Amino acid sequence: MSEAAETGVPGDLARHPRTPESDTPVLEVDDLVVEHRDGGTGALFRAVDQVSLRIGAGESVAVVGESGSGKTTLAMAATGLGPRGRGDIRLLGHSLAAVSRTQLRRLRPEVQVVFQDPHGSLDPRQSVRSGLRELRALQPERTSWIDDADLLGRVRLAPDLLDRYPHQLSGGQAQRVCIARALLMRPRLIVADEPTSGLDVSVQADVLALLRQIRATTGAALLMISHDLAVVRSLCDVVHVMYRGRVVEAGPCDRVFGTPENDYTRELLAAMPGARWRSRR
Amino acid sequence: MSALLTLSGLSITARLADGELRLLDDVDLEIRRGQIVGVVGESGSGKTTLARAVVGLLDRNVRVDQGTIAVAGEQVVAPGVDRTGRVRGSAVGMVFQDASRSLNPLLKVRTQLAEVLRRHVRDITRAEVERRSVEVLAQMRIDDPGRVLASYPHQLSGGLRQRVAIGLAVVTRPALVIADECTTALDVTTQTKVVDLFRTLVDELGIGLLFVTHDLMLASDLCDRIAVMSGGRVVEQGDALTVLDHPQQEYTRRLLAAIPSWS
Ligand SMILES: Nc1ncnc2c1ncn2[C@@H]1O[C@H](COP(=O)(O)OP(=O)(O)OP(=O)(O)O)[C@@H](O)[C@H]1O
Ligand SMILES: Nc1ncnc2c1ncn2[C@@H]1O[C@H](COP(=O)(O)OP(=O)(O)OP(=O)(O)O)[C@@H](O)[C@H]1O
Ligand SMILES: [Mg+2]
Ligand SMILES: [Mg+2]
Repeated sequence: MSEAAETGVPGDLARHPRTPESDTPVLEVDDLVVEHRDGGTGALFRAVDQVSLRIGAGESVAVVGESGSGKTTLAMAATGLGPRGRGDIRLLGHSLAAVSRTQLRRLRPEVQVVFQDPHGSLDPRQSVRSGLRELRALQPERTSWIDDADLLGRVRLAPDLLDRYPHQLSGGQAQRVCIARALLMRPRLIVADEPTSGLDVSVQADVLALLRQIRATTGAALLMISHDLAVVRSLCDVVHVMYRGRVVEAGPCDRVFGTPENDYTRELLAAMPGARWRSRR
Repeated sequence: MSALLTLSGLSITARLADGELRLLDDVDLEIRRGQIVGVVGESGSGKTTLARAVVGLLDRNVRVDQGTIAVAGEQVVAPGVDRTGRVRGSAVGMVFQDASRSLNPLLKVRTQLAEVLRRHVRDITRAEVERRSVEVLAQMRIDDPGRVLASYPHQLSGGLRQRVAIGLAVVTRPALVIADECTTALDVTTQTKVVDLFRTLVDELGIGLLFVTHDLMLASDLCDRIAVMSGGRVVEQGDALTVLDHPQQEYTRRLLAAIPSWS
């Protein structure tokens, strides 16, 4: 990966340019409401409350916010993987309410999700290699741009990990395998739920560089959920701040982080770790 | 004998189809009562292996081949020896890196908390179980403990699951808590509150905490001491702020340099 990052030549990615569908937003969500059932009382409660959001082709949008504020629910609804709730969702120009199962299946490879729990989202009975083989069999053409060893290299993993099973990988290694699997498909939208939360800063820097490069060369858009504000600022154009199901503030990262208007946003900024050490420098 | 946890010359190896792999190499580490020791280091450096060795939950193809682990002066691990069952859950509480390992997907949170409490607190009453369950979730800054108690893990957000996993590890008040990347799913405000709670538990109850994290800044806020791992070895350890102020190892300097700048 470092080689590619240095030269800026993204392997074979550039030889597979995208057809220009770029004016259609990749994702549009209007007034989304998603309810879950309370395990105790059985009553419905709003996990996502009237959220709207738009991601253009090649754009990078972050959702940050309190734990339990509805970020994962929003991402799952928007990609048709979870309860869809009420409101309008258009994914790659198709309204999810109107789209058929077959159409949805056709859209699937264009939208790749890196889930919050990396170990839980890998099949425990499959080695890394056989997992990749399965993806390649589903989409032979789409995935032919890179071989397994090179793909793992892009996320700074050694090729000998190909024969490991998920439980034989460290947390950060499993997370990078999930990212690699998503990239293999060369999607138009990557939804990444805390994709670097288990990575130390030096590996994280490489993964972020890779995501930037993928964006630049394939025009893939990114919906990134993260609690790491520094990561968000270094990677995303726009940030939405969620609190208790609602977006309480949204805008370009520099504006939101530079002159936050909402109290919760200010609280988030004040709570960034490292104050004790930084204050001594 | 005031050390709560002592790792001496610990080496651990994994067997793989194509040979052996050293996961830990001659690791020395000590935690005293009332102390928080941070274990930091790059992905794959052996942090989780170290944490899991203390509770005897290594993978089947992984074994201790040199060195020892003692909890409160009692040797629990040596090559071919595993007496961790005697301390796991009672003297030592563990929060795993993937919350799915700490939680049983088939049981409601209430049942899981009740099980650990009944197993480790003799003659505990029903009312006391409920009281302590609610209390520990509230300590974890969960606003609606009632709903969470009545939920299955899959009905909870990632951060709620992680906080329930911490609750399960501390509800029986073990003398030593091992927490492996236990705040990665938390937003920074919640993380601050959970980390403050750890500090309070350590200061007030005099427990010891082994805090595994890849986040150097978080470690610098919370920990008394920091051990930096690389390639299965502890390459540097000492007072937390001293390690960060005067890193002796090139590797530690690189980690510090890679922290994304904010301004
Ligand atoms: N059962 C196993 N068999 C073979 N190798 C293993 C096994 N478990 C872990 N490893 C390897 O041992 C090394 C250390 O893993 P460990 O999980 O301790 O790392 P870590 O420091 O916790 O990393 P992370 O920050 O990514 O969680 C990694 O290279 C990992 O791939
Ligand atoms: N299947 C479900 N059934 C019932 N409640 C659910 C379900 N999934 C999520 N919830 C609840 O909905 C709320 C929002 O959850 P969600 O996972 O979207 O939060 P999040 O913002 O991703 O949080 P985190 O940062 O902790 O991952 C939480 O209170 C959660 O417990
Ligand atoms: Mg989530
Ligand atoms: Mg780990």
